[in-house]
Amino acid sequence: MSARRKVLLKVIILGDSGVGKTSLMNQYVNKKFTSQYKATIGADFLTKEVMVDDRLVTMQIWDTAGQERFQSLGVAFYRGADCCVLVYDVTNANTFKTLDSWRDEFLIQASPRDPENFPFVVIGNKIDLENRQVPARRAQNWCESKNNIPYYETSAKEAVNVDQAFQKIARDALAKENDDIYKPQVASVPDIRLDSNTKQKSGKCC
Amino acid sequence: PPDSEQLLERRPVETNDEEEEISTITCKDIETGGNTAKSKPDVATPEQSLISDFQIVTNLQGQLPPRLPPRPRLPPLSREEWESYREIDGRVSKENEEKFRARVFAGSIDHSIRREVWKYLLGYFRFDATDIERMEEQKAKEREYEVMKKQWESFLPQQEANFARWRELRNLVEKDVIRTDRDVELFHSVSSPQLKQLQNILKTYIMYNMDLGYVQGMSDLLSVILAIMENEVDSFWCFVGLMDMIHDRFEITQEFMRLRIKQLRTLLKVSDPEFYKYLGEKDSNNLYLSFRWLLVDFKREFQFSDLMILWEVFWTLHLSPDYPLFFALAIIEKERNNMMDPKFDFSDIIAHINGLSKNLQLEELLEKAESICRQVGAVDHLPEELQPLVRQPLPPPFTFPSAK
Repeated sequence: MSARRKVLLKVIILGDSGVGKTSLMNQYVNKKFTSQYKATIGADFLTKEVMVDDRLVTMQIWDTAGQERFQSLGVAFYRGADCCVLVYDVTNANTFKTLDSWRDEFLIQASPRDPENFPFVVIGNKIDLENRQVPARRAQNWCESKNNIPYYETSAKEAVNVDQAFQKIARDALAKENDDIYKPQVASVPDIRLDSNTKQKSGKCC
Repeated sequence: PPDSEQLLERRPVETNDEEEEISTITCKDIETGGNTAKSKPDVATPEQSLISDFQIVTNLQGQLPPRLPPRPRLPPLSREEWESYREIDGRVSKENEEKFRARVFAGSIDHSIRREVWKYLLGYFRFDATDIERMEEQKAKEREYEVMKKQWESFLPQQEANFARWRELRNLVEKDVIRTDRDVELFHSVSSPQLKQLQNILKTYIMYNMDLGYVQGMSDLLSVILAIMENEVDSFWCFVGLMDMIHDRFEITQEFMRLRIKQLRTLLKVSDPEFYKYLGEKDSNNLYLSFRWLLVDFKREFQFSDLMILWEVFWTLHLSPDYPLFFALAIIEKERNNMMDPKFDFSDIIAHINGLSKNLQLEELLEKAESICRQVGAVDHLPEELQPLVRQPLPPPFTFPSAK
């Protein structure tokens, strides 16, 4: 099984503005943290090659803007995602409350084939700060209620637990990707029709 | 038809369908001289759409007048020139205002007079006010600013606790200001008074326009204004003037941003059908790659010194009320060959576009944008969708009055 095809895993990071999505991505990929990041506008991504078990995979990590109104345009980037990372800030309870809607919105917009089993990972970031508002237990409970989403607590600033979280993300994304290969593809090639009547008739059937 | 675009926009997986529907509509517009398509278009089969796409391109291609060679940019507007537009009492006549706008469009403004001239361009100062009137108005504006600033400064803790909308917006401002242009010296230190001023202005703007509030991207626009004004009150009112021009793009529905991106798509389809088709093959012809450009007027793509020149051109509204679209087209045209790499996919194109940041030659692009805008403006039967984008008739290029 050594001559396997190159695997690209697409990961989307979602969460409220200022929870540390860009910082997490940069800490993981570039091993850097700076307080000079700018608010993300539009979308950007970084790639990183990692080993998952004995396989070399390329992670393509997409970072999007956090303010809600920009999401309707951001969805163009959700397509083909293999894993979705939901990030909140442990010092800000509101950013935790919105995880539900981030998850729902992702499932609606990306419409994965098997939404029940689509891999998510939840990250509670900024554990280096003191004024914690969301107890770990509360976040764990939420994750359990959503079909046991894996949960990590990180500090992007101090590089705590970031690698571990992304290892899990890579593993789950790869599992999903492998799974997809063996499932029959949904017909994506439209039937070739010679005239529009045929199409109208077939549209009315049943 | 505008609705159909929006409805389809919510189904990102099927962008190609959406594209084809637009082509059909645009095609009809053109064939009938540009004002039909009130009724819902027939659903096109894939084959029909292909034909339509072909037709729209050839039809407009046939009508596209030749591109004029780029006109070199003029030197910046000097203080002497600026003074020459003003009457003895300080007023600028309508006629001179028009000349002034054409002049700034062609060469931007000398840095030494930006602080004064921006106040006019941004609508803080009236062109038709005398110096005396303007001083009085400025004093009144100062008082108004203080009133609005006091309003949020004097919230009691219990009031804030009971005011979720304010807390949400205030938090957004605070989170964004500490990550606004920290790589620029003026805003570098956490304790820099300019960071505090950015906060004050944006919080006061929330009180001024609670409906719009604070939206990400605003701090990016304000920092450049503050760098020129070096004054909190003046920056606030210039920012208000700027928002009066461009608030649509920050609205919660994002309809206007969608419209602009759609207009850019149509412009590209008309001006460079080959590259447009290529982007379609790479799932990129939705042109969302231009979102960052268009939301904050290329703020992330240029240094402050270039942004000032660029924004002055935009603010003149001289050739187009939405000139950034033509500037975007100029960048795309400049970079198209670099992006037409057979190995490129969707993500490579985004990476290329995002990687252009701080690597663009402003002058060349400004010249190109003007050529493109004049070329499109000279089309006989412009699609209805593009008509609002160019002033008709297009003003002739600025020339200095010939010496006697």
